[in-house]
Amino acid sequence: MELALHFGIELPATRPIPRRVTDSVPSFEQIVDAHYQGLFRFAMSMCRREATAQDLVQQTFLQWAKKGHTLREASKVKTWLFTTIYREWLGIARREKKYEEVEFEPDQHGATQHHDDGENPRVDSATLQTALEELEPNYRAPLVLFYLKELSYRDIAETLGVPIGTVMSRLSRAKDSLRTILRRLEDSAASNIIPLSAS
Amino acid sequence: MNREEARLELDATTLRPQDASPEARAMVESDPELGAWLKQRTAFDEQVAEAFAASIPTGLRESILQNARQPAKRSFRWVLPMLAAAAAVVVGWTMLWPVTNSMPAWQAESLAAVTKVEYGMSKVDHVSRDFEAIKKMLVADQSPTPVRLPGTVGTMPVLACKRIQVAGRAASIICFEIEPGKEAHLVVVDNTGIPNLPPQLQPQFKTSKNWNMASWSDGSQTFLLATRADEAALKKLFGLA
Repeated sequence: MELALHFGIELPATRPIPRRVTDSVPSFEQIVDAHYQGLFRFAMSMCRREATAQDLVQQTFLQWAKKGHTLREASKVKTWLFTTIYREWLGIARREKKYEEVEFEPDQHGATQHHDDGENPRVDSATLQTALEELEPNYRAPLVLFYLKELSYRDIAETLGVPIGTVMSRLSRAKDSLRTILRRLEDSAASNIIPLSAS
Repeated sequence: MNREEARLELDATTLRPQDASPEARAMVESDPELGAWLKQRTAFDEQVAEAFAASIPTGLRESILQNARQPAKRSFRWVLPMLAAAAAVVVGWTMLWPVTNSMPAWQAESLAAVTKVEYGMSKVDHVSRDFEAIKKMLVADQSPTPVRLPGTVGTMPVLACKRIQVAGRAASIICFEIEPGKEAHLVVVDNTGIPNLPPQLQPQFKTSKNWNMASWSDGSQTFLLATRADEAALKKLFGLA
């Protein structure tokens, strides 16, 4: 089956990426190793279904295998991958009508920003996922990318196709919302604790 | 940069402080309240980032690498059969194609057109069982119709007709049923100025591949009658079998 690789999609492992600077050429496998976990976590946070998240990651790397060689700047690989997976997710979300562009951007309409400076709420994985689900996708996407620590806010803006200022204000609002939701969930959990009755 | 702008930028860079501009960092140094706020925000963000790590499905990496190769395998799987099928069509068509270089140009063009009609590669223009109706249709199409036909050629059941071009001029194909399930195609050409014509009123018989042909001239018209029926059936039409 070795011959198989001579037909159809040629893996970028054997295809150098054109670049402007001379640095080491990452192979397809190296690119997968470097990014598949981050991409999966992003996809999982956006679609909340493991099977769909896996499909999105697969699809993204297939796109890379087909088109990655056209990327002229090797430093943009990560942004390219996250942009691609975000678009793939958008396509699914729009088909399922789970995503609609938010028409009103408070930061562009002079709304004042609320700063929550209270105590930090406690966070665990399960509560965090519950809280993220309450956020609008417009806010969830930059927030998840931010917490993945993979991309700078400039790269997040490029990935999501929005201005840098919009990303910064969405991040700030999303964090405030997240704190509020986490605090509510924390209070709700505390009120559900049934104290042991003294006998 | 004002305080609010600095706050937005610092908030967007808590986990990647190297991305913050020197201006924003300088404001933190000079503004203790902003510094305290940033410290608390950073602590929260680090806590969230730590809780963020969703578990990665086992085998995802291997699956990605495997899938990236699969389309290639699929292509390979289909390429050979498709190439084989294409080659078979080419070889088959070459074996069936009756036109040869030794034929006069008018005959080669006529036989090529007839072959395409026979194999369904070229559609007929009109279908009718009525010979008179077929002739009227050809006249309407400004295509030649036979003035007269030898033997029993004109008595075969007619099926259809088509306008074609032979030697750059309008010509006709009239399709007959020579035997049940077998067709004979009569090409009618206005022969003015065409070289290498068959003699007047003397049909010449020729066989090429699995085609049997008779060609003759009659005044300003030249005819080619071609069929995949056997030679005897063809000659019988001319009273020769």
